[in-house]
Amino acid sequence: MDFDKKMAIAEGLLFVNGDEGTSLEDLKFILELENDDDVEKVIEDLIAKYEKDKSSGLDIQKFAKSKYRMTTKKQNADFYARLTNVKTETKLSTASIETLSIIAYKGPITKAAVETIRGVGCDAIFYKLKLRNLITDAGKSEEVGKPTLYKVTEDFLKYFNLNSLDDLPKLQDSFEQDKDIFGRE
Amino acid sequence: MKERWREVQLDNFTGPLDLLLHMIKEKQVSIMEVNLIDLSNQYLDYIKQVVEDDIEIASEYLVMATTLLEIKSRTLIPKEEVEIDSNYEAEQREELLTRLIEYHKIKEVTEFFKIQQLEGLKVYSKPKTVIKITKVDDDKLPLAPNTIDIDKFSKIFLKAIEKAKFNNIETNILTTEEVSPEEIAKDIKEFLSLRKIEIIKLEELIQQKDYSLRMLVATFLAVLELASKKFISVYQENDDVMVKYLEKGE
Repeated sequence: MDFDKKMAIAEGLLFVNGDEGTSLEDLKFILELENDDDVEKVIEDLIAKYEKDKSSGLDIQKFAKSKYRMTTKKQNADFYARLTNVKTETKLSTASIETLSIIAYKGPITKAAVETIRGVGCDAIFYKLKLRNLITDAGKSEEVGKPTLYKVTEDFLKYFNLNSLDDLPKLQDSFEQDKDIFGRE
Repeated sequence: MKERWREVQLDNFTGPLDLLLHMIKEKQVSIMEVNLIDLSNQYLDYIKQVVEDDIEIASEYLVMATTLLEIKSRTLIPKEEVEIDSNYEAEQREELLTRLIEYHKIKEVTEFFKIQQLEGLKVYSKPKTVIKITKVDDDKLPLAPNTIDIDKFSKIFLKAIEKAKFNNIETNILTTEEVSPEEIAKDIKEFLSLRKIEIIKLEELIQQKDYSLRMLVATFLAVLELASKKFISVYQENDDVMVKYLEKGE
């Protein structure tokens, strides 16, 4: 199988798997390739091709470290918004984003610990985030009563267009820096 | 400043820490330099105003107000007396500042998530496609001996019951007559071997029997029993369930 054929199959695979994404493992299996590097070469070339091709409306997005999904190009979003099949998606509230950030940085974490940081109860928000599959159970804490621990999901990474949690901006962590965070010239 | 606060509603804040942070920022001072007395006055003023408008104010804001009040009251006690408890006051102050710092770190990155969210909502993808693979027609599937479509089997059973009703034979009256599947199995075997029948439709086999619900059930059980013991094999042929006698010589 020549390289072009592999790219074509990979492209079709990304189309078929749609928003669920295609893992490197799937690509490896379908393309009958032995090592990760060979698969990555195929997919990277395909990504580069889409990026270069201004006459294509498609894009390939990498998320959750080694998953890929085919999407429309971001810059054309306004045009699709003219369609009749537009469904308004509720953006996450500031409170939800705050809660998610805490879980992303500090997870696995209990609901009580999140509430301590935010200073407010988070029952309803946790419920909503679980419904949207942005957070999930990550076992039980060893604390008294064995409360549930939570972590963010792959859907969280997809939603925020993140490759992995390593992509998150660093939190300030030294106390010296803390002293200055409110300082203004 | 007060007038400005009046315009801002609690809905604009995600919690008491958020409100406190906002107030500190307004003062344009470092969090370590913030005068908690000053801050608590401002916070209480604000809470008071909003409470007047909205009785359903979140309890968390009031909890925070009491924390601030406690810190404030301890600071107001004359110096000598405070000595004893000065550690406690410092601890309380320290704890609140630590919480504010911790919260502020999170607050700083929420903007990043908001931007990422907006970017993410600009790309569209389609749901996963289910791959349909053609398979051999059901009719052409070779059936192993004793393999039979249970639906077909039950249809024949229902047909037999219908026939029983048509013939005005009671199907739901208890009879004292004992019918054992074993006996019927013996009958069926005899019937098949005596008449040297090799293959017969299940329906026809049932017709050899008297129609009563008990009898029907017993007959079906007998057929299944014979099939499991490999005296007969049951298989499907087009729309019929066929019974094949395997031990003719017996």
